[in-house]
Amino acid sequence: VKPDDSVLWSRARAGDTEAFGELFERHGRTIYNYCFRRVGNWAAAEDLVSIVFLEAWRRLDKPLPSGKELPWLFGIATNVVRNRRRAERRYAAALRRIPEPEADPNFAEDSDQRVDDEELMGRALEFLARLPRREQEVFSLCVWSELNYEDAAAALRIPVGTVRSRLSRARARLRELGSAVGHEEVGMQIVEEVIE
Amino acid sequence: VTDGVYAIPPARDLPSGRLLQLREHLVAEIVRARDSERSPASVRLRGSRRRKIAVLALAALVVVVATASALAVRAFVLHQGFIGLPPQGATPSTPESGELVLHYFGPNPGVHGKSRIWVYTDGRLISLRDADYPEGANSASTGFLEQRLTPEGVELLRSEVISTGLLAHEPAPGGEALPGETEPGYIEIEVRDGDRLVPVERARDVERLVARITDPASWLPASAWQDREIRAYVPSTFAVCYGAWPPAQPIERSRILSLLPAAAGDLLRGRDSMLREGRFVLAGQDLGAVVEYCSDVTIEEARALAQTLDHERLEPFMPASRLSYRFEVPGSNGDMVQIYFEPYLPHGEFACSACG
Repeated sequence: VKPDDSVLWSRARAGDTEAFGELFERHGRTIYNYCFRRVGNWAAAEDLVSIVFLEAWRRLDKPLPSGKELPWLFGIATNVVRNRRRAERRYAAALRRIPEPEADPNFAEDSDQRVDDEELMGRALEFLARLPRREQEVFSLCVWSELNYEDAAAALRIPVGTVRSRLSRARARLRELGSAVGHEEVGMQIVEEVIE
Repeated sequence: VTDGVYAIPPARDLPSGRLLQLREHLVAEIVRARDSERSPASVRLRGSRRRKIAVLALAALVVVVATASALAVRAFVLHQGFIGLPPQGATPSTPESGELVLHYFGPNPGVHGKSRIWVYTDGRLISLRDADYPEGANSASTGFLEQRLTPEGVELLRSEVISTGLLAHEPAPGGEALPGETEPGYIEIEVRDGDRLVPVERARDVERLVARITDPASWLPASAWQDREIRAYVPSTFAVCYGAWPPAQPIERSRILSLLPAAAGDLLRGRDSMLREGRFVLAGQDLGAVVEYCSDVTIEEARALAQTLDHERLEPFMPASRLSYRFEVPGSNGDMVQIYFEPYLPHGEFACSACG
């Protein structure tokens, strides 16, 4: 049986780097995708996921409510993305030491898909950028990363009611903007999942 | 559900094998950081050696105090900020190094530009504002200015930030996130909490916090000031940085040095250089990578370098903000090189005076 996040977190807080590495292995992909959905670039997301976990290690001294480890990582990722240049500057040396990726036999196909992803994400982010930053963050966490209200509140350290109201405002504005710019005409599908 | 917006790409794995590679890198970095915290300075010394060092330290202190008293008589204090190098004979700020307690970068209420403020445990409050102040260097920049707080003043300022700001590592809810880099009014605050400097990412009342940090004279009691008089901050060391500007293709260090006047190239060639990489973002637009090389020089070396560059009639660049020159790379398609000087601050870093 694998230990749950809070056990790994406690071990990491006690200085167990392998426990922290296990948390990375468990949640790295989730945070990687969240970072991509915030910046629209896979290579940048790869750097950012490293920064998020390095930053998380730096802040391990405070205990967390059990089960809120992943939301907390989302919170750190949100801050890192918000102040990306500063974070990249702070961890520039560590980023330079990241080894080159190993050769991937499926590189060409994967690379094409990723280029398409970036184009699609770029358009979505351009659209989302018309919202105030607070609403963008809530929308990105709740809709694109599928966090429930409580976890989004823990990530952003705001009350659950505030998450609800910001998300509601974000949806209303996006509907308004969508009809104003007629985004269906450019062939984008409409997808959003029910999270309540 | 039909109230959504654009589709987004599906979640993907990291490229093959990359997750494990990054995990290994992460663990290695953490171990590296932990080891570097155990610097030789923190190794406990044995009794006799400790006593010897204490005696030596006391003797050194006596010498320092005596020298400082003697020098104080002849101290050349500047009451006006300056851009670039200090006038000949100006007395550098002491002590040469200091521990940072608070750092602020952000708006300066009442003026258009940004402010940067650094507060040190020794009481120094150093500021640089893009503003027209009577004590400032010019109408666009104050240059680096210095005031002195008492230990009580430093603690009042620090605890003000701690109490009204919410430190990044606190999981408790409350307050609002400070404006990020891509937003108008971007704010960066770091404050000492125990043995660490931690970023403040949220505040209960951002406006009040900014007002308190940028104008401490408006609320700190008289007892918080050791010397309220504003004077220029005179560094002991400068950084000289050079690289392609505006960001284009990075230019090799050796190539840039070969293009500088011989005396300047020779001086810098013999120095260790630090590679600085970043992005040039203007009004939220990313205009490319910045690659620069920086070396440390004394005031006298900086003066000699600047004289050489002046002598070659290099074009001054952004002279209202910092001592900086640029020139075109011969035979290139208009590629430019910039070389500039920045004063080192007591915590061993330098700031970008021309960044707004």
